[in-house]
Amino acid sequence: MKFFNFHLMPYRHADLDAIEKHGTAWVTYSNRDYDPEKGAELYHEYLDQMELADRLGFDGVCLNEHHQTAYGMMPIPGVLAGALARSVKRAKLAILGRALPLLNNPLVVAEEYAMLDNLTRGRFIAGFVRGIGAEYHAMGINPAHSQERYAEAHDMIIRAWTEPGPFQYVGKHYHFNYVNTWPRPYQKPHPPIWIPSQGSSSTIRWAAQMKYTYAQTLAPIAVVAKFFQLYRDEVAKAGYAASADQLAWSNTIYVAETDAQAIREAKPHMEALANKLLKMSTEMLLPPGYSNIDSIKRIRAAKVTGKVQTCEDLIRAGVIIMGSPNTVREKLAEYQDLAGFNTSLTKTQFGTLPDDMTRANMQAIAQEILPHFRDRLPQGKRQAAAE
Amino acid sequence: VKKILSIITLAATAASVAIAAPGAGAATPVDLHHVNLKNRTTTAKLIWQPRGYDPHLHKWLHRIDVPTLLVWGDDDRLFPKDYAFAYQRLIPGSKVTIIPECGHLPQAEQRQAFVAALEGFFDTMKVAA
Repeated sequence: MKFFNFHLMPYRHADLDAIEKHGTAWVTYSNRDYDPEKGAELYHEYLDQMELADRLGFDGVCLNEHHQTAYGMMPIPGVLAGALARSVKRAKLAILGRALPLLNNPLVVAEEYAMLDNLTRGRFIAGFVRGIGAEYHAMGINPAHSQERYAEAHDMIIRAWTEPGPFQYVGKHYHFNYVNTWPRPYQKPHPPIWIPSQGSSSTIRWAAQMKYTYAQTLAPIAVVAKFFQLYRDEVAKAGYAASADQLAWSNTIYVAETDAQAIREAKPHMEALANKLLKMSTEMLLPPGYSNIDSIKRIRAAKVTGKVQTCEDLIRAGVIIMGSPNTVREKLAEYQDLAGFNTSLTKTQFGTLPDDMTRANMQAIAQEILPHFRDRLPQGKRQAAAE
Repeated sequence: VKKILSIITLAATAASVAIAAPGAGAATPVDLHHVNLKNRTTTAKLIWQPRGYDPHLHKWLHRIDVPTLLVWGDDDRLFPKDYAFAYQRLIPGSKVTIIPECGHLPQAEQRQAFVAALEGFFDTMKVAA
C-alpha cells in the first residue's frame, strides 16, 4: 500500500466555542478570529510535518484547497506546494484541490501544475475538484454552472498539456484565442490525475473511464467499499486493467501504545474536526444546482444529519482508525481487503492535534504500520476486478 | 389599444418558474418535490451573482409604461417589502398589494389572496377600458 500524508492545515487555534455558537467555521465565520502570528507559526509547523513525512518514508504528501474557513488554511495550495517542491526531496507531491469551476481562467491551473511538475522533476500529482458547495458562496460562482465549467476546464487543461500550442479554445464558459502553455509538464503525457469526491456516482464512473485515480473523502468504510466496487465495475466495462493504486481512501490514523490511550489522546482533537470545523448548513453544503436533482433526492433520502459524532462513533463506522499498533494494523488490513484500495491518504494531523502529538503519531505510523503494508496488496475476491 | 399587463412580484424569476410548474388537476400526478428542486436550480442559474438583484434595474424601471401591480409578501425575508415601495416610486402609476402572513412566494404561500389581488387589478383595468 502507498501512504500519503494528507494535510488539511486547520487553523487549530480557532475559538471552538465561537464556532459552535455561530454554527459553522465556513464562509460567514469572521476572519477576526484569525491571528496572523499564530497562523504564520502554523504554516511552518504544518510544512515541517510534511517534510518529516518525506524523511519518514511516506510515499507522498497531499495538500488541499478550501476557501474562507478555519477548517483549512489552503485557499491557494500552489503556494505551499511551491514551498515543498524543493524541501520534500523524495516523496510525491499532490494537490487534492484546484476547484476548477471557481476560476474564471482555469488555464492558470495548467500553468501552475506544469511549473510544479517541472520543479519536482515529475513528482507532482494533479488533483481536479469542483470544490464543496460552500466554495460557491465564498467565491461568488454560480453552483448551477459548476459541472459544465468543470468539464470544460478539465478538457482545456488536458489539451493545453498534450496538444502543441498555440490553439484556439472555444467553449460555453471559456474562450481563448491563444492556448500555448509554457512550461509544458515534466511527466509524459502529463502528471497523474487524481479525482477526489464525496462519492458522486457520475464522478466515479468518469474517473474510472478516464483511468484517473479516484480518492474517496471522509466516509464509512462500508460506503467506501461500495463506491470502489462501482469504480471497478466501470473499469471492467471500459475493458482495461486497473491497478488497486487507482483507488485511494482518505482516512485518519492515530497510533498510541494502547487502544484506550489512543482514543483518550485523540478524542478532543478529532471531535473538534468532526463537530466544529466540518459543520455547515445544508444550504451551504449543497447550494441549488450544485448537484443534479437525482443526487439531491438520494442525499435527502439518506437523511444525512449534522448529529454530533464521537470519536468512538467514527472508529466504529470505519471512518477513522485509532488504537494500538496491532489494532491499527488489523483494521487497516481488514479495510484494505474489504474495499480493495491500495493508496491511503492519511491525515496524521487532524482538528486541533498539536505538533508534538502529530509528530509522535507520524513516527509511530512510520515505524509500526508502514513497513507491514509496504508490499501488501488488497486480498480476496475484490482484487479480481483489477485483473 | 391592446394593453400588455406587467406584473412584478418580488423575485420575478423565482415567481415565474414557480408559476410555470404544472398545478393540481393536471392529467398526470405531479412530483412537486421534483418541480421544487428544478425551480431551485433554475433560480440559482438566473440570480446567483449578484444574489437575486440587478444592480442596474433602477435605471430601467421608469420605462415600464403598462398598468403594473406589485404583489409582495409582508414577511418576505429574502427581499423585504421595502423593495415593493421602491419599485412603486420608479414605475409610473404602479400599485402595491402587500399580502399579510406571507413570505417570498405569495402565489404559492397565499394563493387565494394572490388571485384576489390579481382579479381586483384586472377589474380596475376593465373599468378603465
